[in-house]
Amino acid sequence: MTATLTDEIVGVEDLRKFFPVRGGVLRRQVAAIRALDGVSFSLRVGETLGLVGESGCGKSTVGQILVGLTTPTSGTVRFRGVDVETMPAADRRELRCAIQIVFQDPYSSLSPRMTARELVSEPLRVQGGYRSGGRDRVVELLEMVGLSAEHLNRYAHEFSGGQRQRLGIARALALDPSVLVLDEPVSALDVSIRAQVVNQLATLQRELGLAYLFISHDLSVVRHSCDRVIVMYLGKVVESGDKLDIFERPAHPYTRALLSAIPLPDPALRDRPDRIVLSGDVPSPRNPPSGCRFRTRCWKAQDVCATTEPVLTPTQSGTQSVACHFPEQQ
Amino acid sequence: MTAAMEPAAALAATTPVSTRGPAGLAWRRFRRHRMAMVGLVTLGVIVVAALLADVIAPHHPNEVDLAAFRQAPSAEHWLGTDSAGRDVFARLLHAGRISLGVGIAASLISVAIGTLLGAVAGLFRGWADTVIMRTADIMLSFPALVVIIVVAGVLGPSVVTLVLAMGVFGWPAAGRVVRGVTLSVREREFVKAARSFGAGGWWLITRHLVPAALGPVTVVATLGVAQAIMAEATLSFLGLGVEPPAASWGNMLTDAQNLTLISSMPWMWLPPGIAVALTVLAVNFVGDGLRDALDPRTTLGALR
Amino acid sequence: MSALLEVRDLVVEFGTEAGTVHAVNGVSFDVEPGEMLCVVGESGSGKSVTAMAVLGLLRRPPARVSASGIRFRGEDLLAATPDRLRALRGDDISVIFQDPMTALNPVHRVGKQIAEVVRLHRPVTRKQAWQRAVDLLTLVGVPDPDSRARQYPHEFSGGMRQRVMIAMAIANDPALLIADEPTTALDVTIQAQVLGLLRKAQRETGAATILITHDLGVVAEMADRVVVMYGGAIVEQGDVTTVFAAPRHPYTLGLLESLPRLDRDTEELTPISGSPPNLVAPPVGCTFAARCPVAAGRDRCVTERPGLVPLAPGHASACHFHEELVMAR
Repeated sequence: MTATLTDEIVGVEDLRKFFPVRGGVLRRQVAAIRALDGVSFSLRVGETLGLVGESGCGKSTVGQILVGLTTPTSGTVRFRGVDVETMPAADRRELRCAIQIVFQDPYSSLSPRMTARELVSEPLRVQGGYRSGGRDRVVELLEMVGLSAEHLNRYAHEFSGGQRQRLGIARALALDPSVLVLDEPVSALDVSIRAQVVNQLATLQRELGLAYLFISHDLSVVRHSCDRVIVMYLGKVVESGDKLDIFERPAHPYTRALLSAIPLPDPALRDRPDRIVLSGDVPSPRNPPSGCRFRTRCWKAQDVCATTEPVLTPTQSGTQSVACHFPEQQ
Repeated sequence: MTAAMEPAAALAATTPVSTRGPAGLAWRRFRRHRMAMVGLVTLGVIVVAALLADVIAPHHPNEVDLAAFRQAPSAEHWLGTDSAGRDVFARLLHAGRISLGVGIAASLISVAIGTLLGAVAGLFRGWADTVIMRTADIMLSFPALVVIIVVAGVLGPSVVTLVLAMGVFGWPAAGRVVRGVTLSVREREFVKAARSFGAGGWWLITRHLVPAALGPVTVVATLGVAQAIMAEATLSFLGLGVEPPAASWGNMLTDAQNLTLISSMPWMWLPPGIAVALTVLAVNFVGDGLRDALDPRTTLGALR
Repeated sequence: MSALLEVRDLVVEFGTEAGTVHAVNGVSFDVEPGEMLCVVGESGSGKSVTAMAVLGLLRRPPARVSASGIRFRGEDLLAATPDRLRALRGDDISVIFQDPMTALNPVHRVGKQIAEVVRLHRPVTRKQAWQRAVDLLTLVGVPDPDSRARQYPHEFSGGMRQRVMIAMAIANDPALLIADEPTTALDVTIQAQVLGLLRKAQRETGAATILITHDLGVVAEMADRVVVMYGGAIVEQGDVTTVFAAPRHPYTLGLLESLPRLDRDTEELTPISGSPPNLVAPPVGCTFAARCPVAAGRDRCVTERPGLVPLAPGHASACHFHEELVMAR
């Protein structure tokens, strides 16, 4: 990839995750869901990297692997240039603190039986860092996300959706991470609240020098928030590049279709002539198409697309890579 | 930001001003459950009467008055006397201590074992789950009462044996409930969040899984108390539980094995019989009330 | 031309433990025959509750519904018997829900479920109804409809299930179609298909459609007219071009300004501050006042609830100071 090891904070190489499908009386593995099938990328210090795609493309699985919620079937994860697999235990513990996650659903991600103080201090208590001054730290964290000490003893259900998501962010910041995995952080929020949280995240990133892996299906938010973008389809990266590459010069047909499928909040742009409406559904990751996985829905597909899998190749611009036999020429 | 709540949350929960935990909300719902409150008050009266037995009852439960055996109720003996001339009212209250004590202790033991095993089974899955749940199946397929009778026969009848035997045999009920709750809660994102910042199994069990299961477990425990009281009465009636001269509702009923007594001296068996029935009924009402109060699905239904 | 559906002063309240939730507070609107009306709002705005109240689908209690009139083709739906409402639903008025899985019966074949809807309202034979089901599946673009009709709902993808729902909804040529967040659960490429299909369905049946959504993009894409709801009331309504180009309510304006754009770069987003109102104790004045830049320092917004005032034919705003928003965008 293009990132040099010096500015990379997290890198993944040829990441694969297969979930076994068991069947029969003996519960033997009869098939596998190929949720991730060879994904590589680098996340650089202080940047926001967007990971976009539709449900089932594997974007959330990447986030889960990074925070240790699931282990990859194969492939490597690097943290500050070191393979996580071969890390000594002490470093791994540090890694648990350095990469934190914010979940999509502000209702399910906060225990209904805890107060704000207990919620935000939980990582500190787990990691043994909640002793003297613990309360001050919690108040500091609450203030960082726009809440205050008066909220300390409230239960999660006494907060609005936007406030709950702020609590989730405060909790993720408790251990002074350098990387946040944001798994659809604003998708469950109301439109009028979304912008508040998006701005808050941007402020925190500036102040704390955080790197964000921004997982989202909402491309408008991604365009606003991200520096670089990776587009995934059925467990594979189909295109990656700087934000402007992806949004202004998409080279992969899927990226183009995805962009044009989003309804724009402007009636004047209705029925724009370059609109692409894909036919059919996303195929099952249990039995992905041969060759290029997008070919079953692609209007450009030729015979070669069924036989040969396109590899992710840099385009002339140097910042953009695309996995397509017939990329858009810009 | 203001303290205003989102309407969706307002529909489901509470006013934004007062700070109320889940327990506070459940109590508020419980109070509206009429039968449960009747049960709770009845149970309260029974418990207080048992605890204050020495104060309330004018006689010692084991005091034998040979001059007055099998006497009908009178001003001296409010509920009459039994075959050994002991005061039935005093025995009834003291028996309440033992019967309630046995019931609560046995239920607590089985719930404690069941909660731990259920949480472990649900959290770790795999072979731990298989071993624990198959053991539960095996225990449930045994006629528990028969096994306890055998145990009591081998070890000799005593209160401790009784409590331990019932406690150990009762856990699968709580185990299954807790495992079920654990299976659903472990997939919730707040548990994933805890795992992501390095929380281990013990942390998850004590901070997330057990608290989440506390509601349903309380219901199981309450109903378990009723079952244990019934079992104690049965075993003591058969002479395998609480040993005389100590009184329990069950061994007080032993006297009722005689047909003449049943027909002509109801004061000797009717009071303990009523006590068992009333207690079990009250406990079950409380259990139902708890279930409704703790199950959020009935929240709106209870408002009508 | 008289309106197909007239809703006047609709009030819906829910009794809850925390007190009475004032979900809808005096909503009035018309639906003209054949139009596509989008009702847009956030969670708690009352948009779905309004539709459910019109359909008589709210459970009473806990809901309490009152209105000075809900008239469909002049018939008072509020006074209609449950039997009459059932006869209307699925025939002249039909609904598409967000989650088709809960609306479809998992144990019956999809074709049978569509045929049932037809047979419930039309004197046709079993065979004719089945044929109609297959035709409808063809119409909504389900490939291989003959064999798909014999499958069960779980064998359909989310997008395909929503197509089935649309097929059921248009089975009896309704005059009014109510679609409640029909694409919210779907991926964008599938959403584009389903929205296209909804338009096609509307064209084919000529049904007036109420499309309930939280997505301003969907509104811009689909609507002839738009009704913007906030805190249980309509804050603005008008034809879609006018409302988007020259909104006359601060909430509408704020929403449009706070959106990140796919088609251009934005430096920083302009959020609406604060949170939606607590509907257990709704404000006396304007529900949006606490978050409104226009209301800042103005007593009138806090003390007096603004009514919907017409600005131009078909355009109305519920803001005391709407004239300050002319050319705001």
